[in-house]
Amino acid sequence: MLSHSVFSQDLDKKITLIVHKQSLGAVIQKIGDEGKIFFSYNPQSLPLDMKISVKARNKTVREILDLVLKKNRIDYFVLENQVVLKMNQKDQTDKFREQVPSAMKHTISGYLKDKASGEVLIGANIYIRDTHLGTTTNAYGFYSLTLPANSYQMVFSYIGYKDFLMKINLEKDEEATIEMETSSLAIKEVVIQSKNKQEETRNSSLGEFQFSSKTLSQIPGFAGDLDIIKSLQAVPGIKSYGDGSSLFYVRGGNSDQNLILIDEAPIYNPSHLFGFFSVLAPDAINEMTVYKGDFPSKYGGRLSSVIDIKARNGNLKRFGFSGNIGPYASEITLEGPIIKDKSSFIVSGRMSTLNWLNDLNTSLKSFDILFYDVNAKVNFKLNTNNRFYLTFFYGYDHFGQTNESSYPTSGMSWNNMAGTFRWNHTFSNKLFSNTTICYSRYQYYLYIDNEQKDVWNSAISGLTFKTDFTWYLNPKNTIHEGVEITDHNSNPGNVSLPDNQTDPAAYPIAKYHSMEYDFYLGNDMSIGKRITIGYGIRLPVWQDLGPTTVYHFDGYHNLIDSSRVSNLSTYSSFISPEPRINFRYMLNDRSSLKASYNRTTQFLQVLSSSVSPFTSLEVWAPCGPNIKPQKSDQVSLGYYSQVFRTKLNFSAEIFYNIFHDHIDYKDHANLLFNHLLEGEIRDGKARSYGIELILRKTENNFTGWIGYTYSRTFVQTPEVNNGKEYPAFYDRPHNVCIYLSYTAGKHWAFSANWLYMTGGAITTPVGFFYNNGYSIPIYGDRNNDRLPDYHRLDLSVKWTLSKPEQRYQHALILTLYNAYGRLNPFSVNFNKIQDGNGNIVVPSNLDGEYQLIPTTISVAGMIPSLNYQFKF
Amino acid sequence: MKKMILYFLILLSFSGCEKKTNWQLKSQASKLVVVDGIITGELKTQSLTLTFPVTELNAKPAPVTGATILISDEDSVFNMTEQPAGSGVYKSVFPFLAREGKNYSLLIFYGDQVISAKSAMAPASVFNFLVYSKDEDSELYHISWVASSFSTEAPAMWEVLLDWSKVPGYQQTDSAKSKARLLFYTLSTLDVSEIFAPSVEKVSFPAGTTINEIRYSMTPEYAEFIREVLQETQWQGGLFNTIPANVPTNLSPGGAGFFAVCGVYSISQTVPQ
Amino acid sequence: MRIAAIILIIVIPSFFIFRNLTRPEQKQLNATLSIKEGKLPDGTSVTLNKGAILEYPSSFKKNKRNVKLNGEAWFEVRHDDAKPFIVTSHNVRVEVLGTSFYVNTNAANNTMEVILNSGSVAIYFDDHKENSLFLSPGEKAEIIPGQEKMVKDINTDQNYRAWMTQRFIFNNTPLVTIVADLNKVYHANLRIATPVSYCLVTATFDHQSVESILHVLQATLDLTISTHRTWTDISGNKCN
Repeated sequence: MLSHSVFSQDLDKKITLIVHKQSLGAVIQKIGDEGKIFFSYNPQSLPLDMKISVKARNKTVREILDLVLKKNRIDYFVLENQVVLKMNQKDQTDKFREQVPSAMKHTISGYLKDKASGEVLIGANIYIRDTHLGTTTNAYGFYSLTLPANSYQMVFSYIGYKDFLMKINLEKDEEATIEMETSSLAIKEVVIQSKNKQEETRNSSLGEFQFSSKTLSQIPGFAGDLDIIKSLQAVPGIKSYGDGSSLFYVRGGNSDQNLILIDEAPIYNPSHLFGFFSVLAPDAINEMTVYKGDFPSKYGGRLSSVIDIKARNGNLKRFGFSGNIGPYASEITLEGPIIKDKSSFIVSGRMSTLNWLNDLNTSLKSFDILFYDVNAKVNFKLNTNNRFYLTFFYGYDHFGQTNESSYPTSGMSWNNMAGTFRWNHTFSNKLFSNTTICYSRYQYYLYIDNEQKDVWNSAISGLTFKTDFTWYLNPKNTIHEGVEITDHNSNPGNVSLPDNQTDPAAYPIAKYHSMEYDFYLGNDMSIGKRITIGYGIRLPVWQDLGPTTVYHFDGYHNLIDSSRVSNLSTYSSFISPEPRINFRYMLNDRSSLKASYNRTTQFLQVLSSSVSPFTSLEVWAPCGPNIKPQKSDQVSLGYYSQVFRTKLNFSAEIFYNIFHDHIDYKDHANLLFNHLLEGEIRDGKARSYGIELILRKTENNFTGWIGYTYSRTFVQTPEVNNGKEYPAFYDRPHNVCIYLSYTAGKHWAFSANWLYMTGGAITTPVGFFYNNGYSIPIYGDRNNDRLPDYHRLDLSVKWTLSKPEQRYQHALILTLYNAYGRLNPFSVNFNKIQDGNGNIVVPSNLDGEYQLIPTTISVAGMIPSLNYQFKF
Repeated sequence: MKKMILYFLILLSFSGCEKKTNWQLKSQASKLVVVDGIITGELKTQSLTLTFPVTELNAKPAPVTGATILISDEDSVFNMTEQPAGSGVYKSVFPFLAREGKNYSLLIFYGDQVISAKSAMAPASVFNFLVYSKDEDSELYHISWVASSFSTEAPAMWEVLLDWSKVPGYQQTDSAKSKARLLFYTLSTLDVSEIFAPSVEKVSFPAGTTINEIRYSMTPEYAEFIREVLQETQWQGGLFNTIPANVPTNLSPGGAGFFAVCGVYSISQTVPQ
Repeated sequence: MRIAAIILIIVIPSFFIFRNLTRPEQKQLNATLSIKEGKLPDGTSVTLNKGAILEYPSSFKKNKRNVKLNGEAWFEVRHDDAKPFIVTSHNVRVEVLGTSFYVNTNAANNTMEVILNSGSVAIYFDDHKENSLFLSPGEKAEIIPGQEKMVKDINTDQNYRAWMTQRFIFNNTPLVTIVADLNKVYHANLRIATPVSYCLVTATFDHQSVESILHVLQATLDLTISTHRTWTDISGNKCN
């Protein structure tokens, strides 16, 4: 239903009102006429005859209403294009409450869903008007509020949807499942909704960002397709490596310290090839929450961030399909009900179509690239208390190099597979539980020499059983508790040399087997109107099991002994309690302060000594006798506010993070095929600190934000760099992100994105020496130099071909990634020459008088894309 | 017209690649004594070159002159003298060869510095000659296979000397341009940067070229040195770079490079006309 | 005699043919499914509500502009002193010179309603112009065609054109009246409970759906609204 309203409810319009002793009724009329506002009120309930005087010159309507109404205890709020006026009923409700003899409490609970599709709404806000009580829907769209018997006005709100008001007389326990309609008003979707929004959020997590599927679809992705990992770059405090990389670094932590969950299953490698595409088709996502400051005690196992992605369940009401066809990859999604309103399915598939790039690329050897992923989900609602979800995910990548005669000379492939089975059960309207069984596996294959079929492979897998309980004790306390048991297996890298004459006398590299037991307990508590505290503790226990061979090293990392461990006996165990606490204080209606302290432990890490934007050969190794679990202590403080008299939001956060037992490596560590790889590890400590600032405009046709982060990360490892502190390679002090989006009418949308980062820290030679014809670099301090600064501009234009009311929606999207084609180098090298044909190569004739030239390598210039997006 | 637009679009888009650049290095002068040269199991005048490191790319290294060098196995001592004087090249006074099973020590006296190193000799072994094949679009040849780069057996270095200065048609050219020296390796380790090493210069040679292939057997320490040198030279600048670090040495503090003693076996062939 | 017959045979049919050719064609403006706007041959604009039918000639030749109406319509008549504009329904005639007004031939209780916005109208039965009822702007007439009775009154219904303008203005209006208006315009089938019937509301709604208007009313008066398949109940606490 379209609104051609002549009067748009713009409370920020400036008017002049000067009246002397006029009736309130007449004054309200005047404000309505001047400000072009419709008021709605019960004339019998307001003191319309009261004589008032007002002197306001060029003030916003909002200010005048505050002036005139608030002091007469009249509340106002915007609803459906009207400004509704009501007497402040607090006195009346309080009186009413006094009259009620018993303090009997009842619970109202249920689910929030999208009216059109039945998808649950995650993280929606529910609050009781005129009070400070409220809650949010959990990861399954469920909410529960326990209140004294009384009548209340409940407000349900979620970004992109019309607020839903419901009046209830809570005389017994009630179940209310609400279907929310998308908003057709001029309030444009907020691209990032920080969970700091006043009056509506009860969750006091600091550094947390929530993306709904609607908000994700607005950030210009790469190649016209939105990309989850790219959208993370828009969050201040999250730094990406650069072009072509899906690696990201949060608040000073390394790239393997981010936990990415899809429907509760951990995904070990979230990228497809070159990092330009992420592993889950965007159409399949319902909601994504990013925790970077402190995690609720429910999450653990990684130090830096948790990206919790909830996939869509599939439209419960009708069939639909959607997709995106583009020059680099195409996807299609099918969904629909199996039993209407009770069960639905969704299947998404995506495949790359990249091989035509070979015709263009002349510099590198030609290559063969393929990736695809499939995501399928089925859900079933048995009854009000029981729902089941089954998710399956598989992603495959292949990248091979071929020589001039198109014969594969080397290549790599990897695949991610995950399956989860989840059961939501509500024990009562106050106790919600979710039980998950999931299996996730990541395998990596490297074809060393295709002719001889030598293959190096690594793998990591985990089988998890977990159960989480949420107990909505009362509006002031929500208790979270859970238990998780995981069986981890990892193959840190083994080579198979089938039918090769050179029979390996080498040791097979032992595989790792570990068990992890986690228990957590936490409470979100609100005290009074202004304070919310979340506190909790997570207790992980880690055990390494045989059969395996354990190597013992001396203080100089020389092997002194080895011992065999028999099947299933524990040779090493760790327990690491992790207290978590966060605290929020509302300064006033529009601003709040936050503080938090977090300890996290990481037991599984990626051992990799290569510096590259591309996902390298991943060796996942658990902690054990030679590798201590890495720990992090983080403290953060934040301030959030709506800028006075504007539609802008501002937030500032500072953090300080100490990493204990930080992993670094011996110079030129040998990690790929080394049974003593644990001896290559050197541990030390690291620290990072920073400030993240963001200014956002969130309404109307023109939205955007500017974010600036200053952060540093320093590492100090006793046996590296002579024990001197050095900056981490991902230490990039300045980070700017500007994002702008403009919607013109129903058919056109424009957006632009500009990113700037200080160049990464690198080590460059301080001199050279010659040996056997090679010019060998000499280095001084580690990371003594910097790559050139990184910046790029992305532009995108979306032309919606269909009208909003049509069932079949389609659009053309033109994206220019890196619009001014800046080549942002990721490495600087001093070992190449330019041959007779102008190609840059490594010299092979070592007696030739070759002239080495410094060169930089970058991944991409400007990449355009034209995509066709459709939805039915 | 259409073709032009297509070329323009292609040029504009996938121009991600490697480019020459100017870079100001944060140079630091170094007084390390660099040892270059291999003592082999061939009966010949053995030679070592001593130089200083340089601070700029492509700079010519200054020789370390006036040093006294002694090499000894457990039984004998071999004197090395600088020939010619001031060149930094130290040759053995008498020809000698290294033997299997012996431990060799190097002693360098330079100014008031004493630099020493120890090395055993890895035994030589026979091998199959390399394979060369003709280029697709010319009458020239290139080397297509020398040895597998990975083997769990003994590591080795392969030196390939090509000489076509005597081939008709190349006699007038500068003899330096009619020769080439290439190095290949077989190692028992695997590295990411090795697998995704950058493109290597293509060396083509005509029929009639003499190919001399020499296999140097390496001790595990020397192989480790070579592995790290390759990470810093041949394998650097591909898709996956290792974290840069200094290469190891078996010389005592003050020295750089490697004192290597290798068993050697060589085969020579000429490319038929 | 034979000549007379021939003349008759030729003349009489030709006369009829001629007559039909020159008589202006009758046209019809039909608002079957939705509100329909139209322009009459003299430039007068008319807006018909759903279900209304207007008959008019393809050209106004004579000294009168005659149209026939069944249903609800809003007229903005082009001023022409020489040719009065007459709306006929059964035996009732509404005559104007140049004016804007509203006619409903099927108002409640078998009555017909005329509300004048600007200009002036005269309402009379058949040709009895001498017994005309004159209306001034802001006045309305209730006519019982069968009984040839006409009653004049001040028009208090601000929302008589809401069906056309999509705009409702309520000023201290009792909820029961609001519900009646919504039912009439949107064919909504809203039922109001007695306790809240006389709650007063001051509000303006512009181009909003029934659901939207109910949402605002619910918030303003703390109503309880329950939607059933074919009707909606509105109830709540008695207002002070």
